[in-house]
Amino acid sequence: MLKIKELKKTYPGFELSCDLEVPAGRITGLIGQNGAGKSTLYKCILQLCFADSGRIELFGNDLKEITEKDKQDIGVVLAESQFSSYITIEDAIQIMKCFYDAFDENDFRSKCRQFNLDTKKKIKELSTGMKAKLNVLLALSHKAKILLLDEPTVGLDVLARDDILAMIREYMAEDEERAALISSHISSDLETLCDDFYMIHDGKIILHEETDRLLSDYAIIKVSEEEYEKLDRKYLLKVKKEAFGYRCLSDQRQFYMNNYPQLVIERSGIDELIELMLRGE
Amino acid sequence: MKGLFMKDFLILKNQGKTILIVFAMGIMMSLTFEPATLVFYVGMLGCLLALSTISYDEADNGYAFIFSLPIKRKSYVLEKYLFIFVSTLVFLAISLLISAIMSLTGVYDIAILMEDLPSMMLVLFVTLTLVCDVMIPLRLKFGSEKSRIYLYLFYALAGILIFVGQKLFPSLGVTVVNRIAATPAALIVGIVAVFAIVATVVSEKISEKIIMAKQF
Repeated sequence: MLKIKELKKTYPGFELSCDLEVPAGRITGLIGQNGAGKSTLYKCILQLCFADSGRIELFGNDLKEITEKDKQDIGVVLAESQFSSYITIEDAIQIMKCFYDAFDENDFRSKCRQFNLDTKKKIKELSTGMKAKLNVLLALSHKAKILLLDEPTVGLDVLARDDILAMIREYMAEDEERAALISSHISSDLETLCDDFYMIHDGKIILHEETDRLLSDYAIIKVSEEEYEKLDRKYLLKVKKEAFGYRCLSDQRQFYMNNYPQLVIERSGIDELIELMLRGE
Repeated sequence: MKGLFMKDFLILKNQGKTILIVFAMGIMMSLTFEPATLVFYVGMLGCLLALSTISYDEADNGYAFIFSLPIKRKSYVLEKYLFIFVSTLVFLAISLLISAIMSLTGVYDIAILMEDLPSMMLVLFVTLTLVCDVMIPLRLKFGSEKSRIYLYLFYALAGILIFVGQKLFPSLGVTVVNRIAATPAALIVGIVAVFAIVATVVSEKISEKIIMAKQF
């Protein structure tokens, strides 16, 4: 559905350089710190900024060949940009009807009622959570084949985040061919939603992994200095010095469980994975 | 492009109170000064209100969202010129309608209105063409705040050029005015129309280049 090959985009003091693929029927996560290059990547895909080199394919076509009709099949949430805050939700409905042939007005209105979004209100009058829900609802309102969601849950409380993730899950379940690329720096959102994820740091993809494999095969091994010396390190991805000794990240949990049953071996969540990938050596 | 028209129309519609105030002020001014003032004032302010939709698009990093919608950048520019042109025409049409009603009910002296209106409309047309053809590319390039400074600089430069021209060629102004007075009205309208079309096409092409090169 979306293929990015050897993409390069340079700003003063920053270079985005990445390869990425989002196949049909998959929800792909993009994780990374603020300033890692997530939003730049979305902007390149949406042609809001121009890549220096590389190739982006969407729906099997080069991005330059994407038509207005093709763009109707993309559902977008941008981290810091939305409809003018001076219009009402009712206005947004009228505008969406003009832009998208497949805009489902009845469904959108019923979802607005479900999430207590008053369509007579101006967007600037909505709370942060309500705005985020509206942005996601708009992206899901026109039967898009691919969702490009940049930080759809940013700044929200747990309940609002759950609502939004549930909306996305429900939307993806409606059609198995739909795909999504979702960025977030909240790992739990991605753990429960994504089939696979890319980790981006300083403009580069430093890890691509299936979420299931992450949760089953990745492990954090906590060892003293003595234990560390005796440890077989060939399956260690990163090691970080700690007060008690070392904290190690491995993608071969079973190997260490079988060979070092006396060690403290914990499953790795995305948070610890990020921390060790970025701070470990 | 239909969606862009709808967006701009709704933004303008949401300024309903401002629009009413513009008409009220126009009517008051026309009663105080000349009847044709209503058309001039409403036409000018209406055009500026339509122009302000660019600021609404720009606010809160809005361009990024707009260009993620199913539109081409070129369509955005073309729509902006068409929207401003059409909305100004609508504002003018309504103010003409009000002027007609005021004249028919005897509030305005129809003779004075008919005497002033053609020259007023011509001046308005030239002024609005100049304002829009300069303002639209400036706003797209520099944003609302900076473009205002550049616009003042542009008018200051134009003022200086006229001043220097007058000093160097003292009789030039009088000659130009006499020439205009001696030229048949139809020819003046024709020249103005050609000037407006050429200026607008050039301005639109410049705006297109600006927006095509922009990164958000």
